[in-house]
Amino acid sequence: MLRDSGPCIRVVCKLRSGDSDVEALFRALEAGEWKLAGPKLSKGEFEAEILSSSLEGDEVIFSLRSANPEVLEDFSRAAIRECWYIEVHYHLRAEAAEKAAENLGIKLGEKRVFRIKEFGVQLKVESFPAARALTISYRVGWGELNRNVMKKIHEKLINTKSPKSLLDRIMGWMK
Amino acid sequence: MNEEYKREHVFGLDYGTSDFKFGPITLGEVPEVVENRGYFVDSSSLMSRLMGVRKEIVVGRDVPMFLESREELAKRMVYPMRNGIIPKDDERAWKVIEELTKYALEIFAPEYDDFQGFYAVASISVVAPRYMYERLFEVFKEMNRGRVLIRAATIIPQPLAVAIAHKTPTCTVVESGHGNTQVCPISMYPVRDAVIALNRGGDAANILTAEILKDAGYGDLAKEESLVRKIKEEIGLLPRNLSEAIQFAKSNPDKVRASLKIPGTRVKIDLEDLSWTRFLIGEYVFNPGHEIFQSYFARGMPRPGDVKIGDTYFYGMMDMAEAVITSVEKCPIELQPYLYSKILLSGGNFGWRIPRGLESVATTADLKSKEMLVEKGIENVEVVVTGDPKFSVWKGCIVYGYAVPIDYEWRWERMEGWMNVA
Repeated sequence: MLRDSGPCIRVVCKLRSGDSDVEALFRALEAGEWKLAGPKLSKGEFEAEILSSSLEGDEVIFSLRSANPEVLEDFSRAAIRECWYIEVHYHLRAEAAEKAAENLGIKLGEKRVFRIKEFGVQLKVESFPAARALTISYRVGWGELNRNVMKKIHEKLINTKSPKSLLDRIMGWMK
Repeated sequence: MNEEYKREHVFGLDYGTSDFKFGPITLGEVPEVVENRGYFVDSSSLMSRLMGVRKEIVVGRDVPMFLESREELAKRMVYPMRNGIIPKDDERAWKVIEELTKYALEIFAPEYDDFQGFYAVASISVVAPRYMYERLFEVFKEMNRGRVLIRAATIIPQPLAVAIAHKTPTCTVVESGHGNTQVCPISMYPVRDAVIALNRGGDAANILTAEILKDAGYGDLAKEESLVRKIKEEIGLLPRNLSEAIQFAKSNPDKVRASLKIPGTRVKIDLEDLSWTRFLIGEYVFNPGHEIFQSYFARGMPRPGDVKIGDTYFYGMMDMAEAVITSVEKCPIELQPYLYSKILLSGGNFGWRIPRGLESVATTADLKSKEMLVEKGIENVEVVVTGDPKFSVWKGCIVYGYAVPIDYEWRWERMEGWMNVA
C-alpha cells in the first residue's frame, strides 16, 4: 500500500465577506512576492498550489508541500491581509502521524477527536488509527501570527527545531 | 446543515477497475487504497462456523486472511468493476460495492455526536450507464440504516474528476487503470459521444509480464497475479523506440539486466539474457499491434479483443495515439486544437520511470504519447502525466465536493449536484 509519510499542509483562507474576494487575495500574495502562474504559486524555491475555492468565493484552499515553518508563516502573513482568519491543516500519515501524536501527548490507537490548547491556540486533532493518519487543524488571525504561533506549532508537530548540541548550549550559556 | 460542515466532511470514493481509493478531505493528498474486490466466504462450512466467521463477504485488508484454494478463489472472489461497468443484475458485484463503501466510510466516520454524515463524491467510469448511477445512489441510501454515514452524495465520471483536480476545463483525459482505458475529451463537461474505451489497461501488461517470466523459467511465479504486477512495476520499461531499445539492450546487457528480490521471501528473479524483454512491457500498453507481439499471440497469449459491454465498444488493439485521435476527431473541428494542446494522462498505468543509465532508450508516458501523436501528424501537442496519477481521480472528487454548494441539488438531465440520501 502506498503511504506518504511526509507532511501535507493545507492553508484555508477565509475571506472577509463582502469586502474581499479571491482576486484581492491573490493580489495580496503577489504583494508578498508570491508569484502566481496558473494554479501554482512560488517564491524562490518554495511552491504552493491552489487546490480549490468555493463557488461562493468566500474560501480558498492552498496546499503547501514545504515542511519549512518560515515558508508557512511567510505565506500566511501575505494572505492574512485579505482574510478574516486562516485555518491551517496538517495531514500526517504513518511515522509522521505517530511522532506528532507522541509530541501532543495523545495515542493514535483510538479513533476520536481531541481538543488541545498549545501556545494559546486550540488545536483540533482527529485520529484515524485504521489509516494510521492524524489530522491537526487550528485557526489563526493577525494576533497569533504576530506571536509566531504557527512556527511554534509546526515545530511541535513536525519536530523540525534543530536540537542544540551540548557544546552549543554551553557556549550559549557562557555568552 | 451548513456549508462549513460540508467542507469539512467531503468524502471521495474512486471505484477503479482494480483499486478502490477512498477517504475524507482531512486525509490531505493521499487516499486509502484497497483492492476493488470482495471474497464470499463459505459461511455454511463447518470450519467457518467453528471459527466464528459471521460475515458473508469480506472486503479490504482482511481479504487475504480468508482465502482458500485456487479453485475456490475463482468461484468466490468477485472483482465488481473489472470493465468499469457492473451488469444491472449482477447482485454479487453490487454486494461487493456496498460492502466496500461501508468499509470505507466506517474507517473515517467520526464518533462525535454532531457528525451528521459525509458528503460523498463517487467517481465511476465515463462509460458507466445511467442505471449504475441509480444503483449507486441506492447503495448510499443503504449506508444510513444504522447511523447516518452519508448526508448527501454525488457521482462524477472519472475523466471529469481528473480535469477538475487539474483545473483544466478544456482538455483530453486519458484514464488508464487496471482493466481498461478511457479517452475522454472535456469541454467544461465530458463530450460523451466522443469517448473511446480500450479493452486493456495495466492487466494487459501483467499478462505479457507473466509470459516473459514463463520464458525466463519462472512459470510457477507467473500464476500469482499480484506478484506479476509487482514485478511489472519494478522491471517494466517504456521504450522511446522499441527496435532501438532492443538493439541497445542486446549490445549493453549489463546496463539493462533486470534482477529482483521479493522482500520477505526467498524469491529472486533474474531475466539474464532475456532482460531486453523489459521494453516489451511498456510498448504493449501503448502499441499492442507491434509485430513483435505476434509471436506471443501465436503461442497462446490472449490478444486484447474488441468487446461490447452494454452500449459501449471497448477496442482491444487500437494504439494509444490512434485512440486519442479517433476521440478528438469526433469533436467539432474548432475545438480539436485545444484538446490536443492539453492531454492529461492519469491512472496507475502511466507511471513509467527512466532508470539511470537508460535515458537514451527509455521514456515516460507523456513523452511516448507525444512522439506517437507527432508521428501521426498532430502538431502543438502537450501531454502531461498528472502528479500522483493513481490518486488524481480521488483528488478531483474532493475538490468537486468542496466547491459545490449544499443547496445545489442533483439534476438527472445534467448529472450534477447533491442527492440527499439521509
